[in-house]
Amino acid sequence: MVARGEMTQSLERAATITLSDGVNTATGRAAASPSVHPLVALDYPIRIAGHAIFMVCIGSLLLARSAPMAVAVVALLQGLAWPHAAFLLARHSRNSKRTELINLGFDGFLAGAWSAYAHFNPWTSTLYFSALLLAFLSVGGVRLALPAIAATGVGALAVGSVVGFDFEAAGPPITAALCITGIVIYAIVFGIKSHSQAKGLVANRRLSQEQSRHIQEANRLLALARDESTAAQARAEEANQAKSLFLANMSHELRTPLNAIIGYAEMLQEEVSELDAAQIERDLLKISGAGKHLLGLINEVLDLSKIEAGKMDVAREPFDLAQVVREVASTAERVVAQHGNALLIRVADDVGTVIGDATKVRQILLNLLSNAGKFTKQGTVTLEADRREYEGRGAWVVLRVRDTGAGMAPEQQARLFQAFTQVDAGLARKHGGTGLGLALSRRFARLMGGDIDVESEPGSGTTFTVKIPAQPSDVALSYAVHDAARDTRSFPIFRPPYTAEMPLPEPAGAEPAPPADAAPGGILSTAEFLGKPVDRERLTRLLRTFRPGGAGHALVVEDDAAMRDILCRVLEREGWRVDEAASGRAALACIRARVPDLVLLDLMMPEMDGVDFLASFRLVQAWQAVPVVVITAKTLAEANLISVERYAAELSPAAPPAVRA
Amino acid sequence: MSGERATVTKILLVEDNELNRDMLSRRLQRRGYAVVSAVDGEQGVSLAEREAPDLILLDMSLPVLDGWQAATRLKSLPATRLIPVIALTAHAMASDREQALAAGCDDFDTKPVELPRLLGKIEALLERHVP
Repeated sequence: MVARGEMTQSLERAATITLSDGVNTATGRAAASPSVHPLVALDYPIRIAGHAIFMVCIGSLLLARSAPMAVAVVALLQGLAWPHAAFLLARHSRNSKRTELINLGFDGFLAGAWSAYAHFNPWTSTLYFSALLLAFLSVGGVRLALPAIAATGVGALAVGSVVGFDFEAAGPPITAALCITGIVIYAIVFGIKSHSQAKGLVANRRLSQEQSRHIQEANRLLALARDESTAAQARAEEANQAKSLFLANMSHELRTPLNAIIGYAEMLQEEVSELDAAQIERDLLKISGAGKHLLGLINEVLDLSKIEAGKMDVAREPFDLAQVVREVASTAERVVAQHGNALLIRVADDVGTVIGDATKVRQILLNLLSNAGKFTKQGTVTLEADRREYEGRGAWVVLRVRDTGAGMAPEQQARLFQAFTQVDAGLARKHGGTGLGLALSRRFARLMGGDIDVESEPGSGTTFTVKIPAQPSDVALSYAVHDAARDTRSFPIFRPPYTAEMPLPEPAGAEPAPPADAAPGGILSTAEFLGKPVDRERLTRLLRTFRPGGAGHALVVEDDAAMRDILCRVLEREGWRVDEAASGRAALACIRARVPDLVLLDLMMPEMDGVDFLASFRLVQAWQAVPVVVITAKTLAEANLISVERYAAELSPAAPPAVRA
Repeated sequence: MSGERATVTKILLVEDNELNRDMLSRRLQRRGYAVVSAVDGEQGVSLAEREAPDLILLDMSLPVLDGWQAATRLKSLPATRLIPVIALTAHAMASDREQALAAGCDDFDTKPVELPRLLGKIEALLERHVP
């Protein structure tokens, strides 16, 4: 913030300075603005003083010689009007500097003309000529003085040719006196004016130094802020990675002793039940129950962390919702009955088949039911399942879990779906749980393209409503993309139009679609799994979309032998015949020998990298229909990804018809 | 061999954690299986060759030779490559399963072990492998 404030100040200062001496840079706009070229501003007072002095001096000479009235009028006009006329001319000119130079030339011409007319009187000529030279040399140097001298010569010649070239060394003493006084006054005026100009110059320089210091300072602060934010981002990424690793390790470390606790307890239960020691068996049941509860919590924490890292997979398989509801009800019955509650189940006849993740639906419902059971006493818990058509949004499944419990105030409802917040800590102690259940349930619902809402009033029970699309479209996909976008370490795994990744199941017996139609280039990210190069499950699913029947011929282009081996195994397991190439160049040679049905491509390889390979590969017409699955490492720069997308968009079979033809 | 299997099924349990090894082997024995135990991957492979078990339960995080390496070796040795292997891990990531299968394991289960589920997997594999 500090840096930004100071920079704004500096910029304002810079703007002010540009305006004040802007005539240097903005002469073309002088007529429009009140400011003029500094030369004009400098010359104006000098010219007023100079010409007034000269008018008096030449006037004394003209009087002594009783010159014609017309000439006296010209001298008077020149002395009183010309300086202002010159200034106005320059000020209203489009180019005030050029006009001023012409004015100066005219000054020179006048000097020559008067000298000739005054028969080259030494006093007036000296006065005029020295004043002129002083002015010219000071503002324009020799470059300006030379043309001025020339203009003086022209003036002298012009007037001399009319009045004749007489040389009159002597003049009236009054003229001499006036000229001497004039030179002194002129020198004083000029000196003072010069001094103020010099002072302004010094101030300007000081200001510009200060300004440049301010800009430097602003830049320094900006660079500091940038470095800090980069460092902070790196730290955050590192921390995030460390967190994921920690959670995965912790999960492993906790599971190992849990395995023993639960296992021994269960074994002892079996042994003890044979001995008929009822109390010991009940205690052992508590040990194994506590162990299983702990395991459930570990799983919840792990799930939440997976979702937050964008690593949670959502299945899309058809399942019988009524059956899932029945299973859940029988599992939850005991928990609900704990406080003397009745469990009612209402399933509409038309709920039918849903395409989605049955496991997650089950988890959501179990969670809601056990919650309802925990917070309701001697009441009723109802689970309802319906199927609804929403206009323009297709069929949705609506699941309701209603209880007759204590209910909640609005502020409690607001915090309900946040992780690690139970409505109050006392309840947590009383009822157990991490407070993750509802947060997880909502995230699951959203991953499936739906959501969970709550309606409640203190004293009149609570209703949770789960809505999930019965036939999900890309809603879930866009959510996943959004989630992944938040994670700076990974980028979206599937971006539209690469939606072939998650196809709806093909009707049984359907002819496998040729790869050209079924398969636009998919982007598969290996950034997805910590320390694990490729998510095999996803790869397997992806492979099936390209060749539902398998038995195609694939080419694996990957420089890392271990990674290549893993990819080959997965492919072979899926029934693909596999060729291998360790570089883009080798891959092209391979393809020339035999065109594959699918290419699995690593982007970062020696010799010829994936992007270059893609460019060459897509150039050949006959190869353009071959789908390419890009496998990216997590360090992949965004720039590379963009160039891959460009090729995918321009050259893949999924591109517009013009390209396809 | 098949006659032997008809009487008692021999399971090789490769597990480095002492408690878990003891617990699971005793639970399996209670169910009527003969159990041989190994404490690391290398011992597991040599025991598999020597004892010719009907099935191997293989922990993945093992010292000396880890579970993935052990599985790869088991599946490459003529004497052991036909013995079904079930990977056991306390890692619960989706990719763990795929990695275990890629290393040649025939099935996969997570710890803590749910005995009925594990027994189901054991029986299913044994059934498939009985000539």
